[in-house]
Order: sequence, then structure tokens, then C-alpha cells
Amino acid sequence: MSETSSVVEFAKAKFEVPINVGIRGGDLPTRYFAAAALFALTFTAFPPLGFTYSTVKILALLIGMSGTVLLMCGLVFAQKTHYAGLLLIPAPFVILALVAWRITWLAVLMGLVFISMVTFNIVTKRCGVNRLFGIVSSENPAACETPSLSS
Amino acid sequence: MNEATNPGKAAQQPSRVVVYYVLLFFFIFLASQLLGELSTHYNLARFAKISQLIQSAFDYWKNFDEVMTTLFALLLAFIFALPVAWIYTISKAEEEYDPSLVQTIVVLTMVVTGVMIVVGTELARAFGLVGVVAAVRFRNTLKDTKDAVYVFIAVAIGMACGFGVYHIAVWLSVAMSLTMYLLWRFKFGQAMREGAAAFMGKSSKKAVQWAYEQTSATTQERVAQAFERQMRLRQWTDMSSEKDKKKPNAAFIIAASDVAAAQNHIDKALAQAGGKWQLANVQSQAEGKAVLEYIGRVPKETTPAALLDTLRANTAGFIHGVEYLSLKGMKSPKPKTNENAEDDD
Repeated sequence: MSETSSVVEFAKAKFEVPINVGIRGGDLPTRYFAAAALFALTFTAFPPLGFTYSTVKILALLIGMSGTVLLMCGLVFAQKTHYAGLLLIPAPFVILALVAWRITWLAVLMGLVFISMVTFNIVTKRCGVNRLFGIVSSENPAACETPSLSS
Repeated sequence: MNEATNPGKAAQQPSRVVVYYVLLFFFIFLASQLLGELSTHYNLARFAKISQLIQSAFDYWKNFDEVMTTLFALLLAFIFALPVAWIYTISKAEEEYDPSLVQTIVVLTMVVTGVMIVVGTELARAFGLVGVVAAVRFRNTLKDTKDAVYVFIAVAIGMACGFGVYHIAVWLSVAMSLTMYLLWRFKFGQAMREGAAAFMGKSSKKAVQWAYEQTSATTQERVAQAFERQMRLRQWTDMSSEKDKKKPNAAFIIAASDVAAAQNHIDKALAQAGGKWQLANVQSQAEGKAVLEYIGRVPKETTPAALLDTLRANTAGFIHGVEYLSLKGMKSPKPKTNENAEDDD
């Protein structure tokens, strides 16, 4: 146990990766992943690039699977990965459905909306779902304020 | 996490597990869709085995019959095990009752059913199972031999359900539950032993031995403690009588939570009552409690009952019990002869 902790501490010190933002909630690396995955999907759905529907479908399925795993981890292992999971399950299928209906520009637009949502979340470091339902999952609710973009 | 310490979180867990399984099935659905999509565009011949494995694992409609058979077998195993567990709950004495064993009986039946379904009729799997069971050892000492019987009943019902011989499983459940119930109801072994003891007569040494064996360990321990106390007080009495002419003839055993306050109170009360008293022994116990032992002579002008009332009065809760012991007629233990000393060795 102590060895694992020391490895994590070493990794945090070496690479300065914010593993968990603590009282503000959320697991930043999974949100970076969500942003990157949605960007890749939006990129493949971009009509001028000419990616096939099958490619978009494969990528959407992979992203949906990863979102499911992240949400499962959030549920059972009490990790704060639920935001990325909740975003990555519906978002790729919305884009995929729009591509299937040949409304590709709307698919790209939706992709950008999703990317901006997760980007906003990364900046504010506050789960949108929790904020919507007034849930405070922090261990220290008194110190859990929602910072604004300006702050 | 202890449920008692965090009931809210414990109540939240089942819903989380349900959602987890929903997500798991959704993940499997996505994986099968992905595999199907990949196989239409790419040649997966190099991954034929894994492809077939994933397809067979995720294709629930193809294996629907097997899935339903497994669920049905598990359901029946659960149903058949419940009466056995119920008989266990009513037939066990309070001090021997083990709630975890009740759950074990039910779950073990279902687990054995699952194992038997997996093993089926294949010899290789059976050998594999032997190896796995040998590797994973469950060292658990059951309090009662009868508990092991319940475990065996669970295993038998589970095996029958696993092999699909439900008619055997149901009659196993009925017959074994009935047998265990009747054995308990008519106190089978105990009644036979009582009958034999009565037949032998009260004066019989075997009957006395049997009665002694029936005495609980706690009682034996109490008897030993009381005997030890008597011997100790006797020794104090002998030591006191060597100094004084009059031997102590009484002892007070006081159970106290606050030793200092109790000693102060008892000293004052005994001084008022008269007579010569001395604190012979203090035995400390758990949680700061102690037992004080006073020996002395009860004055002629008072009685032990009056002394007890005096000692019990105004104790403010720091004295839990006062016991009077008469030391009249106690004889000193005989000195050991050389023969006896040799025997002790």
C-alpha cells in the first residue's frame, strides 16, 4: 500500500499531473480524455475530410465503450470519473445518429457543443451534473464553492 | 465499511451495483456491435478464435436456452436451500447460532449449482475443479458438527440442481429439512442420553459424571473462582488468628467501580458498626472495576444483615454488590504428606 502511494506521489511530483482536484470535485485526466475523444470524433465527422460512416461508427463505439467503463469505475470504485462517463456515453451516439441521418454539419456542431461543455468543465473544475442537481460530492462541502470563469 | 457506521452509504450500494450491471450489459452490446462492424470491413481471420469467443459470449439470443437454464437452476437452488436455512435458524441454540452460516447455506447451494453447470459431464473440467479447490483452501472451524452437515446438505442440493436433476434436489431439500427438524424437535441424542442416565439411577457414578459434563464451562469457572476465594480468605484468617486471639469469622466481598471511594465508604461503615476489620485483598477487573475483600468479626450486638444494609447505604453508584461470607467452620487445608507431594509431581 505504501509502495503504491509512493509511486503515485513520485508520478505526481515528476509529471505534475493533477490526479484529482479534491474539494472542487472531478478527475481532470478523464476530462482531458473526454475532450480529446470528442474532438477526434468531431474531426472524423467533419464532411470535407471524407471519412466514411463506418469509421465514425467504429470510433463512436470505442468512445461509448470507454465512457461506459469510466462510469462503471465511478460507480463501483468511487472514483470521480462519472462526469467523463456521463458525457462520453450519449455524446458519440448523438453525433453518430446525425451522421447516419446525413445531417453531418449538425453533427459537427453538436460535437463542438460537447467539446465546449467539457472544456468549460475543465476550466471551472465543477461537475455540471452535480451543479444541475445541487449535489455536493466533496468531502468538505463548506470549502466547495463553484469558481467562475473569471476567477 | 461498517454498515453501522455509515448506513447511508450501505443503502446506496445496491442501486449502484444494479446500475453497474446495466452498464456492463450495455458495454457488452457495444463490444458486439464493434466486432460486427469491424468484421464487415476487415479480415479477422487471424483473430478467428477471439472473434468466435466474443461472438459466442455476447450473443445472448444464440445461448438464450443455456442462460435461462442456468438462471432457472440457480432460482431452484435458492428455493430449495431456503427451508434448510430456515430449519437451521429455528433449531440452533441462541449461543451457537451463526447468522453467516444461514447465508452460507443459501449461497453455497447456488455456487455449487453454478460450478456443476460449468463442469457438466467433462472429466477435464472436473479435474480442473479439483485442482482449483485444492489450491484455494477454506480453513474455517465450525462451532458445531451439525453445522458441517448443513453445509453438506447445501452442497448436495447444489450438485443436484447443477446437474438438472431437480426432482432429486427437491426431495433432498424436503427430506433433509424434515430430518433435521425432527431430530431437533424430539431432542434425539439428548433424550436418549437422559433416558440412559435415568435408567442407571441417581447414585450411579456414570450419571453423576454425565451431570458434571452437562455443567457449562462458565459454571465450572465460577466454582473454581469461589473455591479459590475461600482458600485465600482461609489463609488470611489463619494469619490473623496467629496475631490475635479471636479469629475472623466473616468476610465481605464488595464489587466496586471506584475503588478509592468504595474503600473510604466501607472503612467508615465498618468502623461505625464496630469490630475489627481489615482489607484482605483487592482484585482489579476490566473497565476500572475491582473486588474488595474484607475479613473480620461481626460484633455480637449487630447482625450480618444489618451490616450489609449499612454497607449498601449511600454508595452513590460506586458499589455494585456486597456479599457476606461466613468463615465459621472453615478448616485449614491439611498439610501435604510426602506421598501426596510425590503424586503431584
